[in-house]
Amino acid sequence: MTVSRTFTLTTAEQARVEHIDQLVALGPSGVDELISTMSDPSWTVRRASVAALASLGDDSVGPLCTWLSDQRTEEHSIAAAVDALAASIGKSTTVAVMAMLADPRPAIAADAAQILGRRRATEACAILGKAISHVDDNVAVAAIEALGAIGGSAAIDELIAVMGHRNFFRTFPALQVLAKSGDPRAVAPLASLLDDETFCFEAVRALGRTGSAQAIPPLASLLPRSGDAIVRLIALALADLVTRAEWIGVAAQVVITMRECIGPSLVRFAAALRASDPEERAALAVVLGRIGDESVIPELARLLDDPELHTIATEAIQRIGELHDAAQIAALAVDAATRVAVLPIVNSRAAAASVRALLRDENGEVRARACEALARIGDSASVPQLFATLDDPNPRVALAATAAIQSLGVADTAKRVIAALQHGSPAVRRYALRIIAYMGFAEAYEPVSLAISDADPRIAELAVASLGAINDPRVDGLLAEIAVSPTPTLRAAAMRAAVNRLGENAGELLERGLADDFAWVRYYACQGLGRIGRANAVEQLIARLADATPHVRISAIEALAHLETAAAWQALCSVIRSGDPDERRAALISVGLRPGDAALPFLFEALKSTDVATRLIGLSGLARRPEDSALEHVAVAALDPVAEVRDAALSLLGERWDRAAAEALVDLALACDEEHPVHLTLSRPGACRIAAIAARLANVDDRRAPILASALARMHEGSATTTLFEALTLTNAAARRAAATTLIAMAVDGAYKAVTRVAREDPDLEVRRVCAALVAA
Amino acid sequence: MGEPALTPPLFAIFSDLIEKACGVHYDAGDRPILESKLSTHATELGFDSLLDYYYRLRYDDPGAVELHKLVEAILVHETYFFREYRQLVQLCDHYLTDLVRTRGRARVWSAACSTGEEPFTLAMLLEERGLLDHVEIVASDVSSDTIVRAKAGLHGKRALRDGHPPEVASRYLDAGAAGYAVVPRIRDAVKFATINLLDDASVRKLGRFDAILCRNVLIYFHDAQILKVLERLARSLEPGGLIAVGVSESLLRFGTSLVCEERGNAFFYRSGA
Ligand SMILES: C[S@@+](CC[C@H](N)C(=O)[O-])C[C@H]1O[C@@H](n2cnc3c(N)ncnc32)[C@H](O)[C@@H]1O
Repeated sequence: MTVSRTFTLTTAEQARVEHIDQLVALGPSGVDELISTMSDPSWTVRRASVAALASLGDDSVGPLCTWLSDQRTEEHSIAAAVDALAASIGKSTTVAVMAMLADPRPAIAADAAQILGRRRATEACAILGKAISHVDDNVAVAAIEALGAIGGSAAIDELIAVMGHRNFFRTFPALQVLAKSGDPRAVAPLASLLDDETFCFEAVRALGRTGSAQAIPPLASLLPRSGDAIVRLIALALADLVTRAEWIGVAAQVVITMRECIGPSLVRFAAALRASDPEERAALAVVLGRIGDESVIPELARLLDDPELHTIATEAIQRIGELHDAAQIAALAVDAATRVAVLPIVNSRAAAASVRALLRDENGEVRARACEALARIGDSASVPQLFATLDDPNPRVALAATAAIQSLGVADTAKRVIAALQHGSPAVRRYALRIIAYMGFAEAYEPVSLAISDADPRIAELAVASLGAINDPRVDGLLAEIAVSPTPTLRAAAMRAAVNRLGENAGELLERGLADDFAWVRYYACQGLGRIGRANAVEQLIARLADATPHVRISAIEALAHLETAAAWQALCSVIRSGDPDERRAALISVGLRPGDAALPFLFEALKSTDVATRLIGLSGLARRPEDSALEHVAVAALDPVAEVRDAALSLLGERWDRAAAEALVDLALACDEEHPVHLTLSRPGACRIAAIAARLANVDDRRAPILASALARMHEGSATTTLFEALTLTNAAARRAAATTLIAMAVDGAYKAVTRVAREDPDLEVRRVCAALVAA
Repeated sequence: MGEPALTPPLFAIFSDLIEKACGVHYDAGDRPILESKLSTHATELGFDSLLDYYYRLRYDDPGAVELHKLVEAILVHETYFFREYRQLVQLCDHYLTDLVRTRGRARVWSAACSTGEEPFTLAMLLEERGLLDHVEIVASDVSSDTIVRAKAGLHGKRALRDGHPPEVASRYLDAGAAGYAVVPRIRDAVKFATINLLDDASVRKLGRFDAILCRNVLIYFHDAQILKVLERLARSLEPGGLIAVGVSESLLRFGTSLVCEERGNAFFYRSGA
């Protein structure tokens, strides 16, 4: 039985729950008594009763329906019976409840509608559609809500008819359901409500939820005759609309329509920012980001101060900057916060001079991002200034300048970096050494070996470490000397350098380091031996597993990962259950790096750990493993409650190019709600994913077909669009309809012609009607 | 040497380390920010791998000196004078004034005061009402760097923003080219200390307060941590004392012993005890 026992039960309640367990074990003969437990005064006991009745499936369906139709003693028990039928696993449940929907007594029919909605019973759509015009408001509303819960665009005509009646109780829920239906016929009736004071506000929001470009002109038509309050309301709707359109894969088309219809009122939207609440301001920022130009940047910049709006305002400024070079330059002139916001997307050569000037900005983050931007722009002319920036007092800035110099790599970098080694500031000398360590200039040997005697110990260490990258025959001899230096940190640096040297010398040097007194020497020696794959060091590394210093033990574990001997494997298995979490994790990483299925049980176990890092390590060990069981575990991890784990699992699935992984993604996408990031992963372009979606389109229902069609649209890729065209000829009507709706919304070449033909020739009446509505709009 | 990279497992390990040190919780979306801060620190210490840096923090950091430096670097100290001003006005007018009238004195703690703008604002309001000599203001923050700056009473231009009351500001802040200096009377009215809200013993040593300002810090914590901090703050309150949190931080979802109540038109949480 599946009732959660997290609530504290009294002894008496505990006894009653146990009795319920016994009744379940009796099967059909326990049902009548179980039904009587639905009136238990304790909520927890009633939950147990509901779970029990639902688990009995077909055995309890008849008695529950009879009880609900004829007895209905009190509210609690009715609610419990409804819950039990909603969750019932019986095969006959839906049919039995559909029969109850025809009951002349409104209370019973309304319960039936609710149950069908909660069961997401697609087969009940037709009769729920009829129930929309039931004389009793409660039944009608329950039917409308049930259709909303089931999703898709069933009973669209009946829902549209409700718009015409303007019955307060029915029209409100119906307009919500219509808005989410994704059916092209929904927009016009929703727009018709804009003239009615009672429904106008709700209709504006509902039009936003459609995600349809067709909803924009009616919204825009309100602008000339309304005040700021409506401008803000329209912004809320447009922000929803863009989000929804992004999901459907048609944001580009929606934005074009928005620019045409809303663009002329841009100033009103910018002005509305000042007098609005945070939710409205966020929506206005989304709208301005999509249709604005450099003129709105100062207004958006004001939002950057607000922690809640910071991200949205940054995105808006970046979007505008991405489209208009002039906006990039304008934004750089506003203030520090705006510069920080826009610099990550600055990529225009036209902005290079403005960005270079920011290397002397007051704000450190601006200076750092300016360095990053110069590297992105590829502005080699800025290299002299970047070298000057190595002297920046803020290490983040100097480091960004270092990275930019490395990435720009111009002809005179070696000369400049060698000159920088003579700089008066020790920090500049250190950054110069980092550049040498990365770029490895042979001509730097002499000055670097001199730097080993620098009075600043950090410089001396870095000089030694960077020797490893320098291609000069004298390096090995020098490293051997330093490895016996009286200065422990230099010996440790020699170990780091040795990793980058090939050959016997390096291996021997590192092995000697294992016996050093200074822990960091042993640490880097272990690390180095692992990296160079020195198999004959296995025994010595195993001995280090008993080192007195924890990080040396861990480094030995990591090293053993790279040495594929049986002894190394045995040693790793022995530490995988160590008491120290870092040792355990290191062993798990090491085990995960080993090919072959012996690692799988450890990795699967790691996925069950309560420690997030351990679950993540387990997952990375499963990357690129061919076994079916590995894929299954990764797919389960994609449902992990912790975002990092879920995202890591999805990224593993998204990086795979095999059909099995693509099918796992399709399964997940069909099972998860729209907010789940699996939808983004599924819409990464890729032949395997397109093929998996195409295969599944052949037999999905009306609710799920749009999910797959949207994934194809979001790929923004030729073969995905071709698949949508091909779906117009599948035998599955749900797929044809979803493909037609998506193709028209994408406004791709040939869509209109193809859908017109479907409107004329499709064998299914409903598909012809939807397509006719699409081409008419 | 390239910049050290923060893989997802390393992100989880570092976020755990940081959360244990100061309570600040990092979500997956914050990974780039954390990566940039960590790599700067790791590089400064001469590491090219964040894992090496982590082992240094974990196993070779006597006195947790490097960990403190890292924590200093990741904390967000955003604050300004007269921030969420109405709440402070209501605290004075609907609580502290009466308390001083009936008891002759009161104690207030600004528990995450950053560079001091918040306790100084309170001191200005109390001075305006002639109460400053009767209210002891203690202000603390986990960051010793900010406490040093707070004690100096010198603030940059962004410490005063749109919407502040110009008359009050001009009475207590001397404007200069670089920013503002708090007048000595206000500056000396606040006692500063470096205190980590996760550290039970140091919090206890402060004694009890009639009001605690804990504004715009809980947003950086995870629910379980918030609950622990709240319990600690509630224990530091005099019976009937008040806690003020930031406008975007509701505590209602926690079901603590604190009772939410409106005074004037601002919200406070009152100790039930
Ligand atoms: C955004 S500032 C808020 C300052 C001020 N209360 C306000 O509302 O303007 C947050 C402050 O909380 C401090 N902080 C973060 N974790 C803390 C902890 N565990 N103990 C004490 N202070 C902490 C930070 O150092 C930072 O200065």
